[in-house]
Order: sequence, then C-alpha cells, then structure tokens
Amino acid sequence: MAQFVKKEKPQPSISTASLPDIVFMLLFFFMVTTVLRETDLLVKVSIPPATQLEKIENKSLVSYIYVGPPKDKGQFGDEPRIQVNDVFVTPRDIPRFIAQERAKLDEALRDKIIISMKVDQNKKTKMGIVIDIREQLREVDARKVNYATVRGDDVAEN
Amino acid sequence: MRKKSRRGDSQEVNAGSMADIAFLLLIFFLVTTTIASDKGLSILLPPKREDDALNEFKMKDRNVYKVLINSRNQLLVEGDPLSLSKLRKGAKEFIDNKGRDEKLSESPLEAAVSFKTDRGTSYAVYVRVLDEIKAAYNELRAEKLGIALDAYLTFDEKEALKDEKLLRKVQRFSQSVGDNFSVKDYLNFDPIKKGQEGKRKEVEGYQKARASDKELFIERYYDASREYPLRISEAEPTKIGG
Repeated sequence: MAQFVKKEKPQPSISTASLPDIVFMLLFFFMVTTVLRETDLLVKVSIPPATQLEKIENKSLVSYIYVGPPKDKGQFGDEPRIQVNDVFVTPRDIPRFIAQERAKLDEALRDKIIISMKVDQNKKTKMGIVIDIREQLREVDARKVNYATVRGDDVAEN
Repeated sequence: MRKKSRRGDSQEVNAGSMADIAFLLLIFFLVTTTIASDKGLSILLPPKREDDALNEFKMKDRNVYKVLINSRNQLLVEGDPLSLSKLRKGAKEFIDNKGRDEKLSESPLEAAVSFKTDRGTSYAVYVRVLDEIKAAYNELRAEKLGIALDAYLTFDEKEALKDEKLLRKVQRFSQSVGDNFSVKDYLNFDPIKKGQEGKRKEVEGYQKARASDKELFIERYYDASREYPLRISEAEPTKIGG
C-alpha cells in the first residue's frame, strides 16, 4: 500500500504591507466626502422617498429648514416643530432667518437663495406647518423651495 | 563601507504603525461623515399674494388638472376619487391630449396641474403626489426624446453644457445674430417669442444655426422641456384638519 504522506505546507500568509495604502485610500475618500454638520438637530427628521429627484447645483445658495417632532419629548412635547440654525422657531421668525441667510450671500446671488425643507415623513407631520412656512417664504420672496427627499423605489400603494 | 550602509538602514523610521494611525483617522471620519444629500423635489412658489390680484390668472377650466388631497389623505382628481398609482397615467393623458378629447387639455403648453391640500394632509402623501406629477412630466419629456425615464433623470445637464460641439455652435450662433449669447441663452432661445418683439434678424440667424440639424442631444433635451413646461400650481390650502 502506498502511503500518502501529507506534506506539511507552510501556511501562506497574506502580505499586509499594502494595508496602509488601502486604509489611506478609504481615509481620503471619507475626508473628501465629509461635511461636518454645523447644526445640532433638535428634531427627528426622516426624509421621505421620491423618484424624480433633482440635484441642487449650487450648494452655497442653500439654507435649511428642519421640521419634525422634537427629540426631547419631555421638554418640547411631540408636536412637529420648526428648527433653523440651532433653535426652534415659529413661522413668524422665518423672514428674519431668510434675511440673515441672504446677508451671508453675495449681493448678486441674494435673490437666488434656495430653501431646502427637510421635513419628517412621520404621519404626525401635516401640511399645515409646511404651508405656514411656505406662506412666510412667499412674503419675503424666497420662492425657490426644495423638498429634501431620498431616492426611493416606485412607491405605489392602494 | 558596508558598516556605514547598515547604519543608514537602522535609521529608517518604523512604518509599521502607519496603518494604526490611518485607521484611527479613518474611524474618526467614518463617524463624523454625513454624506451630503442635497437632492429633492424643487418647486417655485407663487409670488407674494396681493389682495386685488387674486383672480389674476384666469385659465380655461379644461386646461387645469385639479388634484385635491383631503385631510384623510384621499385623492380627488378632476372631481373623481383616484388611487395614487393611477395619477401618473391620468396626468400624462391630460397633459399630452393636444385637443383630442374635449374634457382634457388643449395643448401641453396650456395645460397646468393645480394641486391643493388641506392643512391636515400628511406631508409624506403630499411629497408622493408631487413626485407622481413630476414623474408624469418627466415621462412625457423622456418619451419625446425617445429615451427611458431613468436615462432622462440621470442625464447630466451640467456636463452636457460643457460639450465643445455645443460651445462652438453657440459661438457661431452669436456671430450670425450679432449678439453675445451664453450657452443657456442659446438653449432657451425662443424664436417665436423674440419674433414678436420684431427681431427678424435674430430669428433667421437662429433658424440657420439650428434648424438644419438637431444632432446635439442637449438641444433636444431643452426642446422637450419647452414642449412640456412644468406647470404645477399650488392652490391656496383649505383650513381643515390643521
């Protein structure tokens, strides 16, 4: 009987010499794509899905308004609230906010300001609050509005 | 000689911890990253309301596609309840009627979608309906161009605007008209409208530069959006359920 002797093969080890390179590559990717968030969100915002998305071309023109139920339920309740910068506001404060945001822009670009509305898709968030904001935006002639959405599949119910 | 070179070797900085350092940085950026997602549905709000200008825009009834959503998120389209999944098809038929059916719009240029919500309508439903109406317009435009909807949506206008062929064409056009046109001006140029202002020369120059061939996709792209202008108007909301 022939005997097969298993040769002791040395375990091939993967070279880790290129590991730093790989990690650096990832690092640079994230460094480039990172946008450090300036505002602390006080409201819960989960953005609704849509299919017909448009990209905002010029990011410096964008100002954000957040609408959603407060994260701190005990203090603020759970009715949807409006947040701009770092504070809760009422619709009446919107014109002042827009004026502030406009002041940050170049003079030539001031009437091109875009308002991105990040509104929660929770059932409790009704159009009423959005309409109030919209009316104020019309008052100060900041009429370019973008409802922030994420890319979603064709959602057809009923 | 040999000794010297060995000493040089030993002075090398140990790079073994490089990976660790990089990992640390990587994890920091991973945690702090929010990939910017400035995407969404854009609309232009109507101008500021003036008391006496309420009835300024009178449109023929047949040219307005009326969409209502009540505070229980039910859809009423042209007076009939409709499910959301049928809205896109309905809107497309309405806009692209071109005078065939007497109840539907006269032409895509005339047609408009009037969109009315209650204060109690949920925002998620509002976005869905707006999405469907936009989809109707985009599908019509895509069909006009002979491409799929997805291809239409992913078409990068910004890149196409830098096309050298286009830039040369605009230059030629500017010369023939005797005026300085930007690329966007050129693409948005409407010979009929300008003709009304009595600019015959411009119209002729335009037609010479453009009518012969439509080889550039971006020109057809702009033509399609001109043919189906996005006209979504949001009516004053009712006060129910706020």
